Amino acid sequence: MLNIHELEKQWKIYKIKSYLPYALIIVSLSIIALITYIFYDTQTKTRLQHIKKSPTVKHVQVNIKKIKARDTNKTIIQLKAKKISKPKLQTEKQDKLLPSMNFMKNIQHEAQIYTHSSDPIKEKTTKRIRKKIKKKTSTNTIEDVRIKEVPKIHKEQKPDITIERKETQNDIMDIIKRFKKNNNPALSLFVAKKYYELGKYEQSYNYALITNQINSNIEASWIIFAKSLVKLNKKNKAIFTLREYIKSSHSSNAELLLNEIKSGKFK
Amino acid sequence: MNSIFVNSKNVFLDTVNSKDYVQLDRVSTIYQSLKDSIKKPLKMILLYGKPGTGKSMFLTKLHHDLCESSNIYLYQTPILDESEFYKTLAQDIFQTKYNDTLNFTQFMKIVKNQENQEIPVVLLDEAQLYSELLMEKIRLLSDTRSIKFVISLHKTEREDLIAKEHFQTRIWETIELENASKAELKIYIQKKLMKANCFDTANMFSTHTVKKIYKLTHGNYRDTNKLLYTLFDIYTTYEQHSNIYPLNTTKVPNKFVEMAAIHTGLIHA
Repeated sequence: MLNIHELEKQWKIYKIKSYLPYALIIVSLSIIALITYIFYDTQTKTRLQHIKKSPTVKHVQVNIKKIKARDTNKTIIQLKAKKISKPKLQTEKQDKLLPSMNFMKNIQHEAQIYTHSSDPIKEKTTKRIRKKIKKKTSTNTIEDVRIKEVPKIHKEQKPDITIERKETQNDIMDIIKRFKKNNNPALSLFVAKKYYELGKYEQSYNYALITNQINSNIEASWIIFAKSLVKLNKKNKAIFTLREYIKSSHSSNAELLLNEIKSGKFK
Repeated sequence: MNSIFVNSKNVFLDTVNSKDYVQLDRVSTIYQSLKDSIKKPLKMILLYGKPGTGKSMFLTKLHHDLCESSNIYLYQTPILDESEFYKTLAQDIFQTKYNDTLNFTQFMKIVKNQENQEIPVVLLDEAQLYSELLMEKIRLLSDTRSIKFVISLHKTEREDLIAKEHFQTRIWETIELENASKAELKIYIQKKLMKANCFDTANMFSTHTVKKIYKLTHGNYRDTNKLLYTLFDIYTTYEQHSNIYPLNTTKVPNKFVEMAAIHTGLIHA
């Protein structure tokens, strides 16, 4: 008769012994896997830290920050541009890529804007301008997005502005040439306005004077003439000229400007 | 007790009986070749293999099958004393009884004086136990062609040496017995049980169980017999104490096989 209880005990010991190597292998494998995981994890972390610490990355980050700052500035400027008064918007519009021949159409509008008249045509034109500016701003924002990615594009915008300025100067020269050919007072008045805007008051005075000589009934020409005189420190002469003009024309705009010069609001 | 497990246990008792011989394809082929070799005019036939491969069973079966038709003598236990060996052979083969000591020269004279038409066949089991000197004399006896010897040896380094050095020129036929394959082992177990009408227990041995047994015994018949004897012993013990473990008669649990292997020493727990 077999001693079954003893045999069962021996069998249990045998089973434990037989499973022991497998259990050891599994445990050792899991430990190895855990160690390798920790090792690779720490390696990747140190690599990331190295990358973060490396100067090139810093430089890139700084550049990104700069670009972001520029972008924000630009957007602020753009927002401001929306809020700027009408004449400023017009100048900006002229600075941008409008064809030179369109200045001819704008001459009259500018003169009328300055008189603060409630003409519906003016409003329409201003609205158009606003829309155009909006479109431009919208295009600019798209460009901004691109600039964020490629900083070189941002750098290329600066020479664009100088080219525009050259164009305005070239436009003035063209208009002067055309004026010399046909003696159109509208052209000389435009030139006078442009020189005034550019701060060349002597030139604006000269062209306003030429315009007045050709046609003495253009209100805008007389106003630019008076303004240029004030800017050239000839306030009294300006007051005298405006008074003489008001006597003949009874221009309200001229009166307003006269009062402003007298009170010292316009310097 | 007429339990199926008790009957099955008795099937695997380690006894050499020609009735327990299980006919397997490969073994049958070898057996037939051995029978054919005896009929040939060969001096000596060597049957060798690892312990438990069925050498003794082969010789027993051969003796059993040929004893009526041929002049065949089986010596399962070696006769280690030389004089006793000659005296036993003289008495059994030539019916010559000697009370005094019989030496090799005297025995050779007896052999030469015999005019038997049929050469007697002597089957010597466990021949590795014979001394080298006696083995040399057996060789000389086989040279006379008066006695044909079939000797079975355990396949060890020493026995190989004997086979090579002393019988290389005289052994005309060598038959090697090997352990059973997995398929053969399954047939062996099932045939053995079915011979004893233990059909239920024979059906319990699935291929999986036989694989497990083969893993433990490597197809060795003796080890398999021992293991299965203990296995059914475990079954009978559990049957007697049925409250310990519920018995499953559809298949043999691995636990029982392993327990039997632990008990027989095939597994060292």
